[in-house]
Amino acid sequence: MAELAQGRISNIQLVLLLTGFLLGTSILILPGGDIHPDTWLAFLLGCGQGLILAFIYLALARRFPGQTFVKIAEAVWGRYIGKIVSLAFLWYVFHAGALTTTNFLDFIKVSILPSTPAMLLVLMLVGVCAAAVWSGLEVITRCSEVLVPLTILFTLFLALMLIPDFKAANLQPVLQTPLPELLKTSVRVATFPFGETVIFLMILPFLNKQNKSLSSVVIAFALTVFILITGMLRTLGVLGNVAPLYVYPLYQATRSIDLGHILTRLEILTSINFLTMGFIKASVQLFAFVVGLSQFLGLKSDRTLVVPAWLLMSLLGLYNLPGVAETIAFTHTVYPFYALPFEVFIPLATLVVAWLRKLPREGQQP
Amino acid sequence: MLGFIRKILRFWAQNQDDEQPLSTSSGDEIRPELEMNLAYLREQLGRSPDVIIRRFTLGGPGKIGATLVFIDGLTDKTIINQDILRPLMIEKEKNPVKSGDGSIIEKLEECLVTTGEIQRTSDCADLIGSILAGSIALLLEGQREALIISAPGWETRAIDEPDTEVVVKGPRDGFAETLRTNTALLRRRISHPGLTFIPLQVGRHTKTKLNIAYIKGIAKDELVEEVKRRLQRIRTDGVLAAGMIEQYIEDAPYSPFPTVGWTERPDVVAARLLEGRVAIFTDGSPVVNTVPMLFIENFQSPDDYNFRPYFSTTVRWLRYLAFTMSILSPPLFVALTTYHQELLPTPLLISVAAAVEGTPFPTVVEVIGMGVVFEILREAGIRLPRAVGQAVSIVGALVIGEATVSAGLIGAPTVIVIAFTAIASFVVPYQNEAAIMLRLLLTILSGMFGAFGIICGLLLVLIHLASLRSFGAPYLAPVAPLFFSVLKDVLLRFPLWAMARRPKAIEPADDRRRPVQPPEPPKVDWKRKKK
Amino acid sequence: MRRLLRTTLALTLVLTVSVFSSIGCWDKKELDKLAIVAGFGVDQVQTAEGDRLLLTAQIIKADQVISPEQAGGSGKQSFLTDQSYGRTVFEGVRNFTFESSRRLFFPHNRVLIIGESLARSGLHPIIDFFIRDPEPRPKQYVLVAKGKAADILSVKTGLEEIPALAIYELLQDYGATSKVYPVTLQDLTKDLASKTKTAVLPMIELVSTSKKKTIMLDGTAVFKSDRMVGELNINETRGLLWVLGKVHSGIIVFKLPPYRHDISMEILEANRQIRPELRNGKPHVTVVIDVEMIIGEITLTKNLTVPRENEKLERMASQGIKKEIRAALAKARQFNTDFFGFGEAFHSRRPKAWKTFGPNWDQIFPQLPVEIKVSTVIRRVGEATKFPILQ
Repeated sequence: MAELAQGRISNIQLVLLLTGFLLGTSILILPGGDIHPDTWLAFLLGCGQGLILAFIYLALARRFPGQTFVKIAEAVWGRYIGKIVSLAFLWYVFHAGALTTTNFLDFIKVSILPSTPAMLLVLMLVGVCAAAVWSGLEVITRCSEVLVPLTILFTLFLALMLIPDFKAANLQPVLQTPLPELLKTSVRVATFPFGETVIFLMILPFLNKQNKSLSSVVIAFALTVFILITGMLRTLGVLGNVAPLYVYPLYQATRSIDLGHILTRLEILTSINFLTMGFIKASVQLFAFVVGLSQFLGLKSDRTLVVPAWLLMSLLGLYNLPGVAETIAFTHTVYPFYALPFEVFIPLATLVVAWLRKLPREGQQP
Repeated sequence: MLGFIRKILRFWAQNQDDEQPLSTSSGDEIRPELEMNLAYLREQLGRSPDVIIRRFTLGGPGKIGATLVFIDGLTDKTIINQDILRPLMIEKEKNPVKSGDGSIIEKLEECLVTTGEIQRTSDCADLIGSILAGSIALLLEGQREALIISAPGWETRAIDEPDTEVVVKGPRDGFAETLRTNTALLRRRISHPGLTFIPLQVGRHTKTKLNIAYIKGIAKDELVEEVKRRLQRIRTDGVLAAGMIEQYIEDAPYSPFPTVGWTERPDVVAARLLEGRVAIFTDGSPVVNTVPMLFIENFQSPDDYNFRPYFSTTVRWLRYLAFTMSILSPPLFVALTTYHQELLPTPLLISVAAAVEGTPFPTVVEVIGMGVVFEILREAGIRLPRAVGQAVSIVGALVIGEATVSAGLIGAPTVIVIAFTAIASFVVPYQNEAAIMLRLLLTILSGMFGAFGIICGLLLVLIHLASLRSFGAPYLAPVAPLFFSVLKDVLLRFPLWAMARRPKAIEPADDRRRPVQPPEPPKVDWKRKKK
Repeated sequence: MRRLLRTTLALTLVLTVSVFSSIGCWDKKELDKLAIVAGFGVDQVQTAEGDRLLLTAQIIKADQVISPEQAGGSGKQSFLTDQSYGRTVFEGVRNFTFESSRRLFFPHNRVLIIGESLARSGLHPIIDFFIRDPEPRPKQYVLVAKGKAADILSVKTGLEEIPALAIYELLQDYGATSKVYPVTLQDLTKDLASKTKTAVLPMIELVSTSKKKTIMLDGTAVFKSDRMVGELNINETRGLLWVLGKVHSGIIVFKLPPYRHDISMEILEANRQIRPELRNGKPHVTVVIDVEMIIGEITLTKNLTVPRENEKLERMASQGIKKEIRAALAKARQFNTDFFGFGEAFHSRRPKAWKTFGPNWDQIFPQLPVEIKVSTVIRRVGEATKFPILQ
């Protein structure tokens, strides 16, 4: 069959890959910053909700070991409806990848390379991801094995550096946000980034040991929460009520590190974190899309689609939304609703129907 | 895209390869008529003055004619005189051979020729091959077989420490150019009966002898088979050095990173074999190849295991740092001074700005230019005669560095960065091929896109490294894929007694080194000692 | 199909390569094309066209800084001052290119000085550029100039080569007296964004004597919302710093009758606690200050290694500190500016109560009862036990 789908990954690798994916673009943006200072509470709640969603995905994957979602959809919903469902799912994956690219691009244009033409930037960004996808899942995973520990190291280091500027008073008062607000923000967090793990329905089939992935997923979630909460706490502790003013608060907080005039300008580490984790996330999304579409179309080789996918995702990433304002508005208000069908309804419905139809039957070809 | 290029190259290469019939056809047998054999031999070997044909008569009844054919310079004259001519000519007088039981050749082999290695053959091609390889051929009138006597006596280099792999605390012997000497050096270190050698020959005209070495029971059988397969596939005129072997069997010929390891030290080969690898000895080359090779091997030196853990760990990290600096210093310098000046502390920025003021070239051009100059210096330094070398290199570096800075052509920081890069690049024992290309690539990328370019370049390198395999072992193991039990030798150098398992990536057949315990000082009962 | 793929690939490659090689590198900033700004000033002026902002940039001349033999000898300046006009800060920044051959480079800017008249008419119009633009950094200090910022930035002073850096160092050393309050852009942003805490900025002035001009830090400007409404002198500033907990060191001077001469005590360490409480449903603040001191200079003949003598000194010191705080408090009430952050304290620690009277803080603050408790301990007496000269 297809070369890209030959890879096999172990559980530890899954943990690191998933963590890298979740950290993706969330390591820079502060989801729910406007309910400061209870942002981190909303985040934890959102993580919990995301975990529930993850259970649904795992249950589905467990039922159909070794099969990607495209195949599962076909098996559960029948040939025609199944194709429609798969197509919708693939569109979601593709769009998510384009959104990641847009976030990427925005950040680079703002703080690193303002004048370089966006087309070139985006082609390079997605190009690197495409190179990783071309080399296969194992390569993406191995990259994340190198990059994620690096990110963890940097995050902890930066948190240490910010201790002198940290004021606990900035984190008070606690629990003052009215509950509806808190819940709304937590739902936002649940869909981005935790709900996006639905994409892993395309990755789980490649695990070495099927059906043992629950603990890996939980560990990955925990790790992500740990890193993001660290980042969040240090940001909120330093910036306080000013945090929601900035577009990239975590980045801005690290700009104030200045120890003895020598250890300064460390925000580059935050940029590196963002770029590397974004790379992993976009690569995973691109991979899921390419493999999914290949299976959908019944292609012999997965690699055929990599180049077109690269070009298309770059284009969409570039022209998705007119500007940063729209992107932020989209992420905050529209995305939670837009993602619901893909992250919740489709997998849940598939699971229910599969259970009702008592699939997979004995002797059915996986 | 690479696949496309690959197809074109392969197609072109295949068309060049038409087998030309060898001049010697094997299967020719030795005739009983001595003169005919000699004539045949003379025709094949040519009339070179170093081909010696020594006629004599066997002692004893019968006066059988015999001839020795050998090449002067390759054989040990003493053996010829003492162990072949003497017994056959003189002592046979004393102990005449009873004719009748067995052929005379057999008798000679069993009773009279007093050398260690001896063989019978009836094949002409064999004979010629052996003569050319340094053996002595003994032909007898009336016999269909000839004896091939091995008595190597060519000049070799003394065993000396290799220049390129110098250690502080370890042994000083290095391989020489003779295959048997090298394998002997290895045998000295591994007394295990499982140490096996498989002989091979490659190269149509050079008929270079290879020995595949491995430890049976530790190395994976499939690995040995694969090595053998790849070596047997080599069809070329001549193989002159181990480096050529490397290029014919490597997994990724288009990658800047080597996937076949090499060394000139027997202790390194021994260590690698003990981990489950396979070594390839090449006759005529002091370099021995080892496969599979992991990226991490570039940073390992035998000294690491001779010193205690704290020091070794520190030195290891120093090497990682130096390697990173040697690849990243020029690109970082370019990126920081042309794109991201906000990342430099203000006093540093002022110093650099002052130095750059007035220089005519953009920083990228300076850095690449000086990098090229340095590579030229390095290459020239290899070939400078020793007498002149020191003076020229010092003066050259000083003059080029000092003068260009004073003239305002190049900024002083550039020279400093390049000099530092140069020194850092020699810290890593085995990695120089890839470093040059990486450095250049990253510098260009950084000149075009700043730090973002560097990150993209590094990601691409990472992706490439992550996809490399060397004879089945993932190149970046044990970091990726993660093998915790083996990480002990990568980040830190754990004490020897804690490294209980062989590297998983190489998939040795038996992955446990024999059980190890930490050292324990003996318990002394002080009370009793007081008496 | 494969041929189509290959053609697409080839075309993409060609396009990408041509894009790469055509224009060049867009974001590259060669060092010798940058004007590194060390200090920046904004003033409000009247020009022929009406109200304009006058921007002054103090630019480092790198090569002059590095070769001290030239600078010392010929007295050449290692910095230069450029000016430009604009209706907004951003416009003014770009207008620099009319006069300066190099692009202004802000990330190394250390101080931002705002002219007094501009401060009085409101900070909001000018502050946004420094927050929004990625180049200026959050840890630069902000000051108000008594008079015009442009004048302050044109003067060479002291031992430092570049005056802006000198000002930066002045602010860094504030702890020697603790009578100056250094405020970074980050702090200012936070204060401006706060609903109750008002901003303050240190003030700096140009002092001319017949021989030379120097610049000096003097006092603090008090803002209500974004306008400057008053000043604190240096003692009142320290009063403020006591409550903020930012006193590092400094000298307290007082008289202990019947002795004629002044006594100086050095502050070793000062801790503060702000306790927002509710008494009878009304807000009340208790400020508790704990100070440790060393005897600096005295002219008493008493032997000060005996504990009871020190009690008197401690009491006097506490009185002195309370006086400073009260002075600051009086000014705060006068301007109705809560620069102590009492409102924030209530918001943090009594959030429920805050909901009720928070919106009326403006009315409540001037009447807010503040109780000040100071306790001083003399830790060390220096190297002498008593003054050697007999009285």
